[in-house]
Amino acid sequence: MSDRVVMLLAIFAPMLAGFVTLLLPARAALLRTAVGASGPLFAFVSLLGLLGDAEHSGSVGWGYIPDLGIEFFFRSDRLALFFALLVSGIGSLIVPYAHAYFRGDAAKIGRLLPMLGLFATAMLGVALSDSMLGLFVFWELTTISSFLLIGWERTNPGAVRSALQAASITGLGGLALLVGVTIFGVTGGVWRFSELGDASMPGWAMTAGVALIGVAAATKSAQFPLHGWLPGAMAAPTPVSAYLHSATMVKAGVFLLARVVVDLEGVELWPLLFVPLGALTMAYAAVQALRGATVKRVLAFSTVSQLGLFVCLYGLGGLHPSDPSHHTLEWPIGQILNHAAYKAPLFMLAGTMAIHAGVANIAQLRGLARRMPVVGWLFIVGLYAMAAGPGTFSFAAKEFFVVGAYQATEASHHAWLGWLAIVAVAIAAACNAALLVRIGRLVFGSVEEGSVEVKPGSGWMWWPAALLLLLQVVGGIAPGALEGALLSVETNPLEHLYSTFDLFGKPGLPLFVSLGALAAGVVLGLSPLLRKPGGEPCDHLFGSLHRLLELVAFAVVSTFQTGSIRRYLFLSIATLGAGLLIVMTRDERWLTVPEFTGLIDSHEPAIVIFAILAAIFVCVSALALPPCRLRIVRVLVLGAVGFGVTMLYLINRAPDLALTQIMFEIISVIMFLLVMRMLPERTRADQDRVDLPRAAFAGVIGVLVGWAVFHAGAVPDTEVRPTGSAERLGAWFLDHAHEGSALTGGRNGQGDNVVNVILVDFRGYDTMGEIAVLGIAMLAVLAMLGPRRLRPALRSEQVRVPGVQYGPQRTLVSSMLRVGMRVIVPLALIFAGYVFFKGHQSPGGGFIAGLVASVALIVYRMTEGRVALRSLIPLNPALLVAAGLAIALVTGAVPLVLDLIGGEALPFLTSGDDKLYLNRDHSEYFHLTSVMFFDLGVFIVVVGASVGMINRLEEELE
Amino acid sequence: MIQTILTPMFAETDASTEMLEKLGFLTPEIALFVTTCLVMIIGLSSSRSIRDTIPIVSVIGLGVAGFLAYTNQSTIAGAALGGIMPFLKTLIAIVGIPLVLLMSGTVDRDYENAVARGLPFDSIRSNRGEFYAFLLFSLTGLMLCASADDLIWLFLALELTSLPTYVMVSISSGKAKSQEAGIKYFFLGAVGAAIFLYGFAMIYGATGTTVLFAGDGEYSITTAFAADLADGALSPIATLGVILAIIGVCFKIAAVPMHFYTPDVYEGAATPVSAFLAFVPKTAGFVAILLLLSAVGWGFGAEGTSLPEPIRITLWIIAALTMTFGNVLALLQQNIKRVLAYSSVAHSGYMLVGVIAGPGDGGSIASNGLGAVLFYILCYGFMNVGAFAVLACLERSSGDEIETFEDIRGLCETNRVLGWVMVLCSASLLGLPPLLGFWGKLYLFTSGISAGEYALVAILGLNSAIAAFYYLKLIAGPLLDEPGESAKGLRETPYVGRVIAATVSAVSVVALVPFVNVLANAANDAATVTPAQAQTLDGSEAKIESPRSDDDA
Repeated sequence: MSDRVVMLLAIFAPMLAGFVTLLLPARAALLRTAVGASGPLFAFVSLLGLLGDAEHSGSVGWGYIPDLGIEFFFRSDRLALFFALLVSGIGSLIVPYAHAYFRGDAAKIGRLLPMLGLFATAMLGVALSDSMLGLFVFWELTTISSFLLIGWERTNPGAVRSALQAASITGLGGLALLVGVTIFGVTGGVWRFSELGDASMPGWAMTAGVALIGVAAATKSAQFPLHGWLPGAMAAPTPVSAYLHSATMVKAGVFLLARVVVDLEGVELWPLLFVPLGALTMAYAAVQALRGATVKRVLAFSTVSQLGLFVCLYGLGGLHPSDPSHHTLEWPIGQILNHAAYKAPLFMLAGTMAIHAGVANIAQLRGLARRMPVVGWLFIVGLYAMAAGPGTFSFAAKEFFVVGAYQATEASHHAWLGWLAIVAVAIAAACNAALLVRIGRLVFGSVEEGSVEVKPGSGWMWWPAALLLLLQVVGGIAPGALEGALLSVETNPLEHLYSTFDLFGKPGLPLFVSLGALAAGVVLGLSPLLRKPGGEPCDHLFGSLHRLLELVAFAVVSTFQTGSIRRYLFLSIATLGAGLLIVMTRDERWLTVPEFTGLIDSHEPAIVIFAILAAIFVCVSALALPPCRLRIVRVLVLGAVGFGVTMLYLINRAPDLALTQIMFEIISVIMFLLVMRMLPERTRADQDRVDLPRAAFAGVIGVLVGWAVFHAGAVPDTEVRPTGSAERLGAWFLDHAHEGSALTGGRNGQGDNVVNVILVDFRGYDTMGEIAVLGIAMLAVLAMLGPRRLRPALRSEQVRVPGVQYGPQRTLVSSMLRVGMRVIVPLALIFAGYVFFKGHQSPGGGFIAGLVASVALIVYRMTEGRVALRSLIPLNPALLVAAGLAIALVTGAVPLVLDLIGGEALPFLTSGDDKLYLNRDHSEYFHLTSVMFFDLGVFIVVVGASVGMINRLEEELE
Repeated sequence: MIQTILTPMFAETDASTEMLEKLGFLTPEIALFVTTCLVMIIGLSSSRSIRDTIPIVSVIGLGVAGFLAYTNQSTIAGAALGGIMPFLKTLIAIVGIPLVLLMSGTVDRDYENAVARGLPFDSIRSNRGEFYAFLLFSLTGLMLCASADDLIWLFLALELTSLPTYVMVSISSGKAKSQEAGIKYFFLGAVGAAIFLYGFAMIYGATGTTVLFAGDGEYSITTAFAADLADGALSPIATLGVILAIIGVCFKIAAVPMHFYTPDVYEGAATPVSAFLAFVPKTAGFVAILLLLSAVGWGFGAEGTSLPEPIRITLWIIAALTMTFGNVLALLQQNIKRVLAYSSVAHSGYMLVGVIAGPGDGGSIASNGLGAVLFYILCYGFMNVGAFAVLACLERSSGDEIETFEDIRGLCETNRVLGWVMVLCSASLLGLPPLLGFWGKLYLFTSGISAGEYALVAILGLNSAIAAFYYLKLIAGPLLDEPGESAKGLRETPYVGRVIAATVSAVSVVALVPFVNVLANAANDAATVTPAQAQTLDGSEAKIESPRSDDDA
């Protein structure tokens, strides 16, 4: 089996085993445990096999997303293997311990095993991944599994909060890692750790990348001030705390630093970043550990302190990365092993005490040695190791650190970093010793009255701890044995340091510091200092941050997100105005008055004057809008604006547009009036309010928008189009309305009315779409208003004025209007027909004709009522719309099938025309074009839609 | 099917007929349009079993449209982003299917129940057919956006996308809240449309044409802008026009400063409609932005790899504010629909990072921001539908929609499938690896960094961290909490389509992960920008030495 297959299997074995347990019988807890433990055990054994070859391991694996270097590439070098063995080894011990911890509770074990398996897989992936993004994926998986496990206690809201806190903070670190890795990948072209040394990238990118990876490591490894989540994570069951939050996961950050520092040499920032960070964390957390109230909190803070030591160590390692004359700090694997070998047992024992004797607080430890002798003694041994007592592996490890730091003080520059590390480690060691003294006095004290009776437990509750502690003792007393094992994973072992006795043989400053710290710790332990248990500021850091964000959010919500549409409109338009203002003031071309010649050049002076008058009329009507109080008056004034625009169309020789505009104004005014009658009355106060700021705001926006249009309109053609290409649209259409052009694919306009030709020919597809939209709009109105409801209440309230004739629906209708309409409506309908037929050659066309007819029918509807309209047009307006659309579509489709009758198939909507001669000498004829049928469709849709909508609105009011 | 009818027809006709070529690439839209008509007609049937086929017919129509889009690889002549069309249309059809399934029981529930109890069926009173027709119209509009090669076309397509949604919001539930939402949505939408139309007018003023892309080196907005590039900067009026158009389109994508409606409207509309709003108009807006900016091109700036400075700065500010605004405000919400609304705002901000980054060197997806945006739209489509679908699948015993965090507590225990859908989709929205959303975000990161937008990427990273606060609540609630009192009173709505939509989305979020490379490469190919030939005023063609030249070309 090739290495990559072995590694792949090893990585996924725990997860698979975890998931397989789900398939086993629910009650077979022991079987489940056995299967669950087999995963990490398999990984451990199979990875051991790779150990021999670690020195020559390359990067092996499979590609996934080659562009991003996302590959499952693994690397079994010594660092990776050591870490992976640690994870799988402790994992194999934790599973049986968890079984004992939950006392064989099948449900809980069943829930825990898949999560632990997932975590072990994620952690093994972190250890073995060579691709940086691959590591990131596994890294985030550890965050997820940690999140799930911290929130284990469903009934405890605090646990869920802690889970959220842990996931948020480590998630933030994950994002930093992602960005950092991406910087290395994108700017340096390096997506694998093994290639980091070859990265050629700008210095600042290197700095940013390293700093971001540092942030990631700091969150995962709980460095000050981001460590708040780790004490919170103690809400998880103790096996989880022992495994994730002390032995393995929290070391992922340290591991990441190790990965990077080895491959990345000579980054100036490195020691300056990590030595102070680690030193501060080490000292601060050790002091906090002394003040902890519960056993797990004490252990958590001591873990944080130890993690600080690792970070500090790697920081120092960056000082002399390649100088062989100094003790290289590249491989302090012993340190990690050392910590795992005392902290995991301490956690396990804490769990045992909690389960069997109900011990959670420090004070409850009193008399433990009598109540649970084995556990009590083991606990003290563990604490002794934690305090780095002579004779333990821990002592050697700490000494090793001090020696390294001491050598750093001899460095040419940044010597202060070494001293900083020494001071910090001395403080931490003293605190740990003090802890040993205090807890030792409690444990060996007399049993208090009324303490909970100790329940008998299985040996599984303590022997995994004992096994690990044995490692401490062996490492301390017979360093040779451990050294032999470690030699296979260390590249540059400081052999003599592992021997405690050697150290005594060579007294110097390092030994002095260690012993001095121990002595100081004993004194501190007996003294009344730092005895009062208490929290620490960083407990609330996360909560405060959250609250701060919420405060900001609240301020923003109450300013912007008020739910008032008026406020939203104001903000949107104000932003727009600000944008316009900024753009315009940045370019002086906006500040000049553009030369605007088109209108004055092309018209008679009298017409120019008339145009100016019409423009003034439009402006005055528009300005009259805001002061008007009544809605109805406003609608009418708005209509006046429209009529002013009609005048402008006429001046520019566009009778079609003018006619359309007039009809459209009529319909829209009617529609507005109908809708507004449904609105509630405005309050008096609302009507009387004069809002100067708003008027000013509207004025400013209007001027800005107008100014921009003015400029855009004044750009001469010659400036925007290359010579030789077609002119502006208007001129182009004028030229081609009759003859057609290549653009229309051989279709001829064959009309003199440019507007109509544009509508039915050049932009026939658009018109097709447009009438569809019109139809949709009507459907929308029908759908929104829903089924017709007659409102009896409204009817009864209506006041009948004596002597006035009422319409069929008892609405007030002037009889003059009614009589007049009887004449005008048929005339208007005939006119509509005329306009329709003449449309292609002179002003008119289906659209305008439809509008004219609609106005006529609408007026008829208003004066004569629903029933009369119904009898005039016995069709559902929706059907009319459908019929119109169908006619237009069929007309358009005819050319497509011309080949069926022997012709040549032509594109959709191609028009054909012929002359229908009206007399014999062919001097008079009616120009018959196929677009007329298309226009008929347009006509019917327009009539159906506008009449349908207004009819429905009227019904709503009746 | 439709294609087989249309293709030979087109083949026989004169190839110079430009309109016909357009019809050729409109086959998916035509299929959808036919489906729309069918659905409207079916909705009038008095037989319940026939009316019940509406969603099925819609799904089949979408399937056909998707198939046509996938097999029809024709591109718009001269388009800078030619390949965007088949990719996006296929994507729209695929995401459209769960959206349609989600709609079952939205407008028709009360009325169909009444009919089932013996009320005679009245086709005017039933909105069922119309509602699905509006939905399909909107999707048709969205596809048309992807086919746009003209500003007028683009405008009409955008409006065809939006207009039906205004109605859908209003009629989605019988409550006053929906009507208010509809009104707000409509008015602010009208303002947005007015602003981008105004921008289009300015672009027309500056270039004298509405044609965005034209083949054979004919004059178009693209060539006019390319000539501007040869001069070093876009003309002031064109710049203003593009900026205004972008600000107007911000309404569609729910970005600052046009995003205010988002939470109110999403909350007011029925949940399935909210899901629709979060995907369809947003995608339309991004398509519009991509098309417009591909006409401008990313050949400006000191290194010739970025947008013109004023446009870049505008987008930068919009992106930064949108992300931050969306995420920070989401923190406060107790209403999940509002949370998802703000998250939709935030996601638009993320995607704008890709837009700013531009197409990169054209070589790989790692540096192609536009490809990242397209890929993100795909990811977002699924995870967003899934999250909303969970809310749509459940209701209180009173029949009210569920909407608070309290409602989904312990969901994994009370309703295993829906609980896990919520967990997976939220985790994916948060961007947790290895789910789909993570890969989407990853490409945004890489493209942003390779374009040198470090500050923006940092803001993106920080925002993702802030987002963790509320997405984790959506994960922790169902997964870790005990079911609360209100959660115990929930029942599942009797619509299988919704559960299918939820499940399909969640499965996609997981099952598409092995195909990320394939999908992202497809997005990358779709978003390959062909540099335009400049047409200068004297008619000569200036070849621009542009660093965005395309390796594949």
